[in-house]
Amino acid sequence: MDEELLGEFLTESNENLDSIEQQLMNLETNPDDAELLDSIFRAIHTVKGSCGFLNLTNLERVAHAGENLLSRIRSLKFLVNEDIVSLLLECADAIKQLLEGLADTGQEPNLDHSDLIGRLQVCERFVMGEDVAQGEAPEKSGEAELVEPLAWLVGFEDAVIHALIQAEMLTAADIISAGFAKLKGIEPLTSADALKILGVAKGHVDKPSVETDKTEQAAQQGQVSVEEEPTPASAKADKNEQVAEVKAEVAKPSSPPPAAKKAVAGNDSPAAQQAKRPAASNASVRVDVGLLDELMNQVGELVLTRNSLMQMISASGSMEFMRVGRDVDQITEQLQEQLLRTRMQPIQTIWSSVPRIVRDIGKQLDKKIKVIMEGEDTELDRTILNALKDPLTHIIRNSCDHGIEPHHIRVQQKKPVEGTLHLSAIQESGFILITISDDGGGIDADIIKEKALKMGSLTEEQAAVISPKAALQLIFNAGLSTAEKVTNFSGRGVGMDVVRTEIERVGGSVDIDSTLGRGTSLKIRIPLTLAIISAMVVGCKNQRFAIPQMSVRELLSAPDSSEEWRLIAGQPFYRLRGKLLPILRLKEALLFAEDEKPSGSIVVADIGDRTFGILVDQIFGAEEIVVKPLGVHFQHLNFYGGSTILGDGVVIPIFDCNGLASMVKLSTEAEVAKDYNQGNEEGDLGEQQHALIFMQGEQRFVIPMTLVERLECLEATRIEKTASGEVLQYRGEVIRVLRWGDLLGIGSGIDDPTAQMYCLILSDGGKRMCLQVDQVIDIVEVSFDIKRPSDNPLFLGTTVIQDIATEVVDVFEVVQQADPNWFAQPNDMKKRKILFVEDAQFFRHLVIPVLESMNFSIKTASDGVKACEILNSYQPDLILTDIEMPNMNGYQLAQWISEQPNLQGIPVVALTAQNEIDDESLFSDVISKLDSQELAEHLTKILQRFDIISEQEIGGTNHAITFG
Amino acid sequence: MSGPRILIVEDSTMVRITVKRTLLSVDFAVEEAKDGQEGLDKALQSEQPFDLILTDLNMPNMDGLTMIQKLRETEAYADTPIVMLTTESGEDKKSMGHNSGISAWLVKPFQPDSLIETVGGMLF
Repeated sequence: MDEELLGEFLTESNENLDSIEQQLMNLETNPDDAELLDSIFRAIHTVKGSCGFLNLTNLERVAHAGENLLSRIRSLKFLVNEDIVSLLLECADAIKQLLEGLADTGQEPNLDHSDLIGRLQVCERFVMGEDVAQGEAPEKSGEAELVEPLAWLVGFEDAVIHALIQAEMLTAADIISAGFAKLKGIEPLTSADALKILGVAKGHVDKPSVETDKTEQAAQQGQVSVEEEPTPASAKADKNEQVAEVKAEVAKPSSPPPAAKKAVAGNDSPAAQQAKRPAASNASVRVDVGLLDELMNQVGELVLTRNSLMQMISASGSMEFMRVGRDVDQITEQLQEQLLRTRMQPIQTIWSSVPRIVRDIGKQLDKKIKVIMEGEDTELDRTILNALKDPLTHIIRNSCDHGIEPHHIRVQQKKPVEGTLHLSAIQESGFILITISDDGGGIDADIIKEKALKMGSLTEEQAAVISPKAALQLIFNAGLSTAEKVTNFSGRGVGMDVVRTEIERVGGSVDIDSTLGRGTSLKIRIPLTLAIISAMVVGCKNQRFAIPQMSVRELLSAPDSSEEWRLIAGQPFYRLRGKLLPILRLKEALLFAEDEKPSGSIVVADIGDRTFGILVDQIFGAEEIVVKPLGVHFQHLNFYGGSTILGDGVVIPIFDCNGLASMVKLSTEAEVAKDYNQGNEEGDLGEQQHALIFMQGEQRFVIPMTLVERLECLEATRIEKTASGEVLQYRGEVIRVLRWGDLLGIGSGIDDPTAQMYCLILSDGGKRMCLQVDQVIDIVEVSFDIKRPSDNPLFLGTTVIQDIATEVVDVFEVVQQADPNWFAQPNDMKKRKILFVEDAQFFRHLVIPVLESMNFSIKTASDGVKACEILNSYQPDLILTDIEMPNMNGYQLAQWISEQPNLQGIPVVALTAQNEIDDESLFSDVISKLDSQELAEHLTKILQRFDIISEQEIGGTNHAITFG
Repeated sequence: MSGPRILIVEDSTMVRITVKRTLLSVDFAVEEAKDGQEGLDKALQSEQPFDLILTDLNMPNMDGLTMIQKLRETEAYADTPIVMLTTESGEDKKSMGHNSGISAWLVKPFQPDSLIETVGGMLF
């Protein structure tokens, strides 16, 4: 036994008992002094409580019996007499005796107090008014008829007792026969409650048999379950009938004894209340929140120290240390967990005001709204709860005010007149998902778009491409309120932006979804706690960073050899289960390095409305980290959310995934990815080309990707001025910079030297040029259908892209103007024609830009049958075909072509992902579906072989699209 | 007079403390033993047989399975629920079969809640 603990226990118990004698005697003279009684009860209770911990069974039994008696006296306001005080004094003596023995030997003396215990129990039942046929019991008190079911269940909350009574479990036997599974299913009982109750019930059932042995007068033979609530009448009745009768009486709600009825009905019975209150007040302590915060800080430090200790231990390799370390590790974890729990409060604490808010608004606006809440016992850190309160209120007001329609409209739309506001909270791993939905009118994405356009937070171009869901998210932008009228409750144009800011401030994210006419729902994801979070530690260029686990959806290993990498206009994508995932190269984003082949590991981050990948060098694993604020010098960096100290003492930054996402222009890229992912499956793309849309000031331009090698986002200072004009150092070359604004004569509009500039790197024939533009909007597939020719030689004319008139840049003219010698080599050969047969849209998207860059005129077909149709009236210079296709596959197509007299001599090249193909003889050549670079090189060789292009031209086809 | 009495046989202090705390929290009486031999002695010497025994598998002096076998031979513990605390995977469980005398398994590390569930399910 723990010496120190024992010493403390002895000191404390003796202190408690010292006063008990005097108090008991005082009680004898003042039997109605409730305070005195309380104090005596507490002293014995404390002793009993500590016994349990120290495994002092004898002591515990004595103290327990004494405590039960005292608790009974207290709850029934029984006025003690001389005899009872004597018995209690005897009990105190026995406890002292046991304590003395314990102090002397360090062991619990083996003394038999069963006689005393028996007498205490008999007395307890006497106090309860049972007819105990024993001389010890003097005259009956008038209050002795007071009975309550389950009175022996001490220390449980009223709600628990009520639930049991409601479930008609009125005796220990009822409870035991119900069993664990049934009991724990009763609200609000936890499994632990159920087990505890069953344990007590078992002890309670066992008790009479012990009594039978030791105090024969007390209980009857053959009695399996003793009821606590016999009435004097039943006590006089036949012994065998007694149990049945009492049971029947209690179970029948029609005729319970008056006092029992009171107890069942509940709360106003002072006796019932008193019986339970002391235990409840002893079970909880009020603690200053500041103290808890301080404790939390210290546990935070402990966690950090533990982390370093664990690292040192694992470095030492000592098994012994490791075992101790493991224990420290686990204890720290438990400590942290439990301390976190002390800071947790159910979300109910902030939800409880919701019905009132809703009712008030409803009344004022004459709307009927019912509130349904689910998961209100979900617990959250109190700091987070506090932060959530205002945003939540705002959202709810919005829902009631703008969401749920007025009466007459609901009737018109055949909706139930009463609107519903649904709040739910569920815990997912490490975070809480709160959903607030209403069945109101929903939000019109178009109205939001309009507003955003007016406000200038959305450009026309963006508005054209933005998805309805993405448009809805704009509601979180400052100054957007869709309410037509400003009402008292909401709609003043501030609010939703504050909602988002508040939620993001505590590391959460918010997402809105709405169906017009059906309702709106807001999803808030919020971490369980702020102070200590689980994070993924990743490495990039010998530095480590933490990514909050909450945002991490999955981890991928993505070596550069992976076939899933795609590079579209300089932006890497990773094909994950058929979808393109935009990738943020951490190395590039943090300006460590650039232009490396993407490789390493991808952390797939999910920030509510979108998903993106973070490419890192290494993933070290998950670690519990303590979030420390960043120094003021770094706080403007919105992609960092804080810092932490790792086990080895190194301070590392924690990423804020919301910030990371906004740092790179992911939205544009995401649109591209979406385009690729969801684009229509209609096979024939005709003469479509990839083109890049950009803005200069307010004007919108489109430039074919033909000469665009890469899209770079550079700092303005990278452009240097020389005597012959502006230049840019790019990949070891000095290349000429053209500013589109200057070419148009409207100025570049960039004064801020730190600003980022979009530069299109144009490349042809091994020459490069840089075209600086204001803003890159999107990459789209278009057919340049010129609606109106232009007078300006820089433009081919005006076309309509996504319903917006856009000037088409004549890139050749631009280059020619800047450098008349650019196309010195005659390049007047007519465009070579190619038929590209491929069923997978994805590969079509991948290959077409390569072919475009090689200056092919392209026709596409989505299978062999369509290819045959096209070939009936079209004679290409080269046919490039996939093997596996529906309707007619590549072999069949090649076979068919070989049988057509007019198609003889046209090389048929197979493009396949398979390593080997069955019949190579049908094809002129076979190219594997690798990256575009290889494809370009391979095609060039084939074209040369078949004399379709000449040597001189080869230069021009190189590096059309390069992997960075 | 008291509720159920539980014996925990386990050589890791950590696990013993965890189990003990959990069971004390529901007012159960808990006795501890550090290995199979001590567990066997405590179980047999106890005035009243324990209501439930929780035991580790691998322990010095006597392992959990041996202890269970010896306990099962006695009248007092022929039907007592015995829960094996184990880190072993499901495969090992199967290999030990139904004749081992084990009433239930609890895989370490476990949460207090699962201990409560297991014990509650076995006892009541």
